[in-house]
Amino acid sequence: MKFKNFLYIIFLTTYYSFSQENNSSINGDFINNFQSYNDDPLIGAIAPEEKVLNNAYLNVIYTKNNFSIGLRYESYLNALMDFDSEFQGNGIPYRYITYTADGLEVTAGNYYEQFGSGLILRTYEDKGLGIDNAMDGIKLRLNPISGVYLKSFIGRSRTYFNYSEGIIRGVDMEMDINEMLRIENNGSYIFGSSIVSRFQEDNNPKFNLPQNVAAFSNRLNIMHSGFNYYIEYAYKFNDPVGSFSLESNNYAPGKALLSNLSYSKKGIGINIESHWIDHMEFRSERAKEKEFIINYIPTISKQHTYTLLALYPASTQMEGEFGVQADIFYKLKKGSLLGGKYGTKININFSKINAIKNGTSFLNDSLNIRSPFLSYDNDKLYFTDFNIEINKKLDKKTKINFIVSNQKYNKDILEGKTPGEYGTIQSTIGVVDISYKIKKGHTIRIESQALRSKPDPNATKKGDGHWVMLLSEYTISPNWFFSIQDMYNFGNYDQTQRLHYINATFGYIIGSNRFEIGYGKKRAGIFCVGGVCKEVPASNGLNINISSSF
Amino acid sequence: MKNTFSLIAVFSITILIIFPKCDIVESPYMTSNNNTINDTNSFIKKVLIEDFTGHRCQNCPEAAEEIKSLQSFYEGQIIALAIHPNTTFSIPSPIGSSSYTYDFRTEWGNEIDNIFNISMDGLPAGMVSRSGFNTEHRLGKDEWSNIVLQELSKDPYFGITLNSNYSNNIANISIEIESLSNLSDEYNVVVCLAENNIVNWQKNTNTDLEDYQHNHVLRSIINSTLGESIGSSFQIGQKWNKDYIININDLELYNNNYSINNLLAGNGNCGGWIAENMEIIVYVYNTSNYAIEQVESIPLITETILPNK
Repeated sequence: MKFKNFLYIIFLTTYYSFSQENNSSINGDFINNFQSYNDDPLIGAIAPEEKVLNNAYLNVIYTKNNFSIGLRYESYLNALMDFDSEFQGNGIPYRYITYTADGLEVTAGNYYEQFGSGLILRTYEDKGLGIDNAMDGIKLRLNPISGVYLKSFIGRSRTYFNYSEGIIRGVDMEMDINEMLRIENNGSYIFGSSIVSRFQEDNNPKFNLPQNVAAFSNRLNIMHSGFNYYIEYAYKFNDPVGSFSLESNNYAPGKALLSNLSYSKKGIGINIESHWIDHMEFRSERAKEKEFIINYIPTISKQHTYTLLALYPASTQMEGEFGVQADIFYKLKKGSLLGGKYGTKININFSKINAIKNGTSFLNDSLNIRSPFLSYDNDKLYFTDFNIEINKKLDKKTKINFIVSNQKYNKDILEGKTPGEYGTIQSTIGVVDISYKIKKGHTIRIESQALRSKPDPNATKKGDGHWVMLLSEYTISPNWFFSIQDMYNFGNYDQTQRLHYINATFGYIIGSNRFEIGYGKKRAGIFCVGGVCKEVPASNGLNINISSSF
Repeated sequence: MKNTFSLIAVFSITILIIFPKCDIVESPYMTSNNNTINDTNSFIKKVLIEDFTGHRCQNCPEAAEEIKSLQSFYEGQIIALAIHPNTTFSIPSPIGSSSYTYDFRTEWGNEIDNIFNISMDGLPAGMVSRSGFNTEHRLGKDEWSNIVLQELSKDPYFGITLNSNYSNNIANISIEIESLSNLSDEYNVVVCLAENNIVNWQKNTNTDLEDYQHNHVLRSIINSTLGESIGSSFQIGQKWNKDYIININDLELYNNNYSINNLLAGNGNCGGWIAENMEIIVYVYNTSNYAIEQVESIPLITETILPNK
């Protein structure tokens, strides 16, 4: 508390001292998400005792020359139902001071950091996922010579309103060879290396636990003549959970390899990537649950934005998966036979994720299961998605986007069900999105989606069956928008669940303020961002969202 | 340029400092298999693990294993209570279904869950002597051992002596609670009835087990969920005594009615109680923070030896 008070004093002092000067600025933003809840037994929505819940955030940043100070006030009264109930109450869990002098940037307080792709460290905030694992401590960034970037930090990671018992330390070095040697050509060679280590006392009298658990990663990025190649390898040393059961303490090291090759030139882009992951969850505190994870494995599947395409999203299995993805973008030229007057954009995407051979490596006094490096189990499919997207401007007023996708989704693995419960659900999805400009400032958009599902014949349960969705959106630029959508689960195997999920929304935007009011039903499901997923409960009610910046 | 290289040197040294700070542990990983108690006092500190579980919860057997490991290591010092709160994990199938027809839920289990908000963020989860209320009391099963260690390192405030006389479904339970310190807070006592060795369905990670052994299942609380006061001021050696007479058949019938009349999908299939497998668990807690200061248990039929004790 004393430190917080100290920060407030500094903040107010700097504000009054410098607010009149031209080279200082105060900016920030405000977000308020209000939701009311009604009981709706048909969709499984249960209203909380409070009936209405509210999340709010206010960010304020003061900047003057090389000095910056900021804080975020957070209010959960109480947290929205799709947030963990541990978010409760008000507070200022995020505050920092940063200054830069002669190439050295110093941050005291809270900060976010990512090394490389995040394989051994990624602290970030995502309000949609309810994740904020900001560090609290000291962070240094240094650019000692041209092309060399050094970062180091020490701190504890945030979960909800608390900080981990584990102390996290890390160093990252990145060298841009061209910049260092002042070579000017159309290539670029960047090498990076990181180490992260967690200290937590071993007070388990039964097992010998490592008090300092380290992970390192090395990465290389080569860019040349339209080609871009990125490879990163990470290794985590023994990190048992600290349980009293022999079966729960896994002393095996974690490994991850990520590789990405892309090529692009005008009108065409190709991206091929893969990753192999084994036992790579790294938490800020041993024995804690997944909310304490401080690293990130980038997803290997396309991140769909259309609702039915994202109904069965792939969540990254940090304890073991092998995935490949190919993405091709092509633009048919204007005036060509298929390109038409305005050209046509085509995107073909394929991804496939399987289990690794032998499953996650496991090592204890009685077991030594190793997953051979880069091996995978062809019989254990987690996810596959093959989709084609065609985007075309038909005339000055009409745009159309067409997508067709075929997905296989191992619901048991990806949602943590008992194997054999749902098995692998296959679905074929089609989307047509038409946008028509009626007159200046007035645009109507119609989105039509359908999902045809096939359950696993060997599973004991079926999924939700077929869906259709229709969305209509009317925008009056720059102030108003109205939308209504209906998701209809017409093919549910349970006839009582063949329900409509109707949502109506309208919004008003004025300057930097945005107001949105919606009413409707939300189905229970899985929501993912970049392969990180959370379960969302069903809800029925009114939501009011306000965002503003200054 | 000189400064530049100095700074690089500082970073390099930092790397060198951090890198060796990695402990690579070699087998054998298990260094000790039981805890030796040197305490010669008549009462030793014991802890209560309330394990919130459900027969459809696929990871819950791992929590039961953790309890077994803790009980084996801290012999006689860990008392467990398996609470099946009213969640999707515990809903029974209709009578006549092939599996999961048993209703483990109780009124008291649901009330405890409502007070401490354990199941709302998923199962398995639990509390160790309700330590850390009200922000850090909900613990994942791998967190239990740490709190057990903390709790066992404390001196016991109370000693509990139990006796049970059982005959023809009627039990006379005698409780004597002795203060081992001078205390000024208010404390309550709670008297629970639990049953071991209930063989029934349980989901496990990879399979559905038909003959899973459910242990220390909460069946009833004799003197209400929050118990009753034993006083708010204590001198060393001060004693509190009370006898409770319970009828096992009546308690079983009560749960049956509660299942049918009060619970979602309640089917009343919660009987078949076996007195020989039952135990009395008594705990004393501080009413200001719910912290359980002492816990004790005995078999309902004192001649029997219960499993997992």
